[in-house]
Amino acid sequence: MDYLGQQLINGLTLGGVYALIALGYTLVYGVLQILNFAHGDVYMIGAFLGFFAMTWLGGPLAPTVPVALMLLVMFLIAMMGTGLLGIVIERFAYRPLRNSTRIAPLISALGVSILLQNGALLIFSPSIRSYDTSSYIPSTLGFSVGELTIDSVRLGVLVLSAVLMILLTKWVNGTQVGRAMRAIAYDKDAAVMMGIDVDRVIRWTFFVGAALAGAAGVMNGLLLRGVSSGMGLIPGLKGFTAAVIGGIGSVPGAMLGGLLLGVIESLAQGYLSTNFADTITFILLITFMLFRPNGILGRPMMVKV
Amino acid sequence: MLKLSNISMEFGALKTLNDLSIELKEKEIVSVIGPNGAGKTTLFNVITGLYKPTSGSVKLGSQEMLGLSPAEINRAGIARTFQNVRLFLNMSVLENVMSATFGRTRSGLFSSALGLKRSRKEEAEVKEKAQELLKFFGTRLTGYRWDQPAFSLSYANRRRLEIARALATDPKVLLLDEPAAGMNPKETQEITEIVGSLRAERGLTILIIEHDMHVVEGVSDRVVALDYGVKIAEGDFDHVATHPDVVEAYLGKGSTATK
Repeated sequence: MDYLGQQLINGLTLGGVYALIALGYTLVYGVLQILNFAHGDVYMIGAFLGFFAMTWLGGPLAPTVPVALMLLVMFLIAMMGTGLLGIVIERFAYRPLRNSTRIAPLISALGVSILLQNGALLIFSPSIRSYDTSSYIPSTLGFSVGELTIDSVRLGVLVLSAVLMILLTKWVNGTQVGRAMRAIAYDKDAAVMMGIDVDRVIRWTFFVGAALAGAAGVMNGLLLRGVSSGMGLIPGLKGFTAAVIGGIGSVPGAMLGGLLLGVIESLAQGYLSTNFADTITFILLITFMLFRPNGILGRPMMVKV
Repeated sequence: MLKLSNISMEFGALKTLNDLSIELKEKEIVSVIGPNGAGKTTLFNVITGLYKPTSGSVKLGSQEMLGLSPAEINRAGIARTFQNVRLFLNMSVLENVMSATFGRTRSGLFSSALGLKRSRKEEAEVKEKAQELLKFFGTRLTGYRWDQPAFSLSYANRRRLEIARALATDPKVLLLDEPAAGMNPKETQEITEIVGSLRAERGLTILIIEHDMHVVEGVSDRVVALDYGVKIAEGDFDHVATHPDVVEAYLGKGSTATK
């Protein structure tokens, strides 16, 4: 029972990270119907930006500011940086292809992905950087319920991903930009004829999606410590899988898909085998693509006139 | 107010609009009639920037609309509804109207994400404006209906909501594409009155496509008849309805006017 509980907590923590990545896929797909396969690399850049922010503030062993402030700055720099990167990617890799075939932005996305990965390899060198979380966040912090323990980092990641998801939901449902985004996702032609500036909304969409991936990158750094140029590939694919499971284009779907995937993976690791977890993820992806391409919460594809 | 000059629209060898000119004076209500395929909706799509015509000009006041994007044309003051109702069915009634004010609001991400005062105030103003616009249709789209999803509305209410959404963009010129389609006689009568009060109360200039001749007769200052993209008659309702070319377009050669 405790073992199961522990696996569930691990799963939810991991799932929160996946959900944040999945949201970027789903938001962008909602407004543009493109799959932004550079998204995993944006997440990687976020992890690096968080790392450099930490180094700038004295590094893990001798932080020059209080740890809480350091963490805050790490997240802010990573989210702002990746958000702006998202806007740049949209401007140069996707906007010129807005009216071309559907395969063109997909190829462009793969190009951006390769560019970011190799750019990171070239600039940051192939060495793996470590967040070395345990040297400034003691693992003894956190709390226990019965024999269940949830350490401070996991707890922090869980809370922060929940907060970000709540803020995002409020933004999508209760602001002018969020409403315009949903309008475009539903019927772009009707939206533009109601005076909605599509470029402006798309910029915001990329900013927000990428910033969430940036936050996820820092979370991953804090949880697993290692940061390298190739780290975006697998979480990128898993975020995509989570978006598909939940129903691509659906915001609650991406959250649900991410959490589900995290829990399933964690249980697979705990009860089957560590190596088997990734296989399960991609079996799930294929199964959903074949039998339920609209995901759990996605609406059926509509033919627009 | 709205001046269309010599508009031609060709899709390959097919000419859907042929050297068409229509002018609307301020606060004038003009109906466009014609058989299916006459080019009426194409005309709306040209005015709203969805199609680029092969030649011609569309002027709102002294400003040329051709070359502007559909969103820019809307912000210049031309709003429309759609023949096949294109509401945002994933949103509530109120949100549909609120979304159409976006072109005129400025709050950015940070202020809105953080729930800052300016953004909250703007949100409240937009909401109030939307509620006000929905009151235009009496009690049909007010109260508990505000928060209902748009997909739950009846067909007639969807058409009304589309008009409210268009009004939210603060237009000078309103283009209505078959506003009475699918409505019963009572609802049709109501729509006729609504169109009249849109001009009387909001000072709108209105171009309307309609098949229901009761509506056309009831609202129009002037009627333009199209067939195969060519203007075949223009004038008051009686003149156009009995015009031999119009009768022929609807009923075929050799028919006699039976109005």
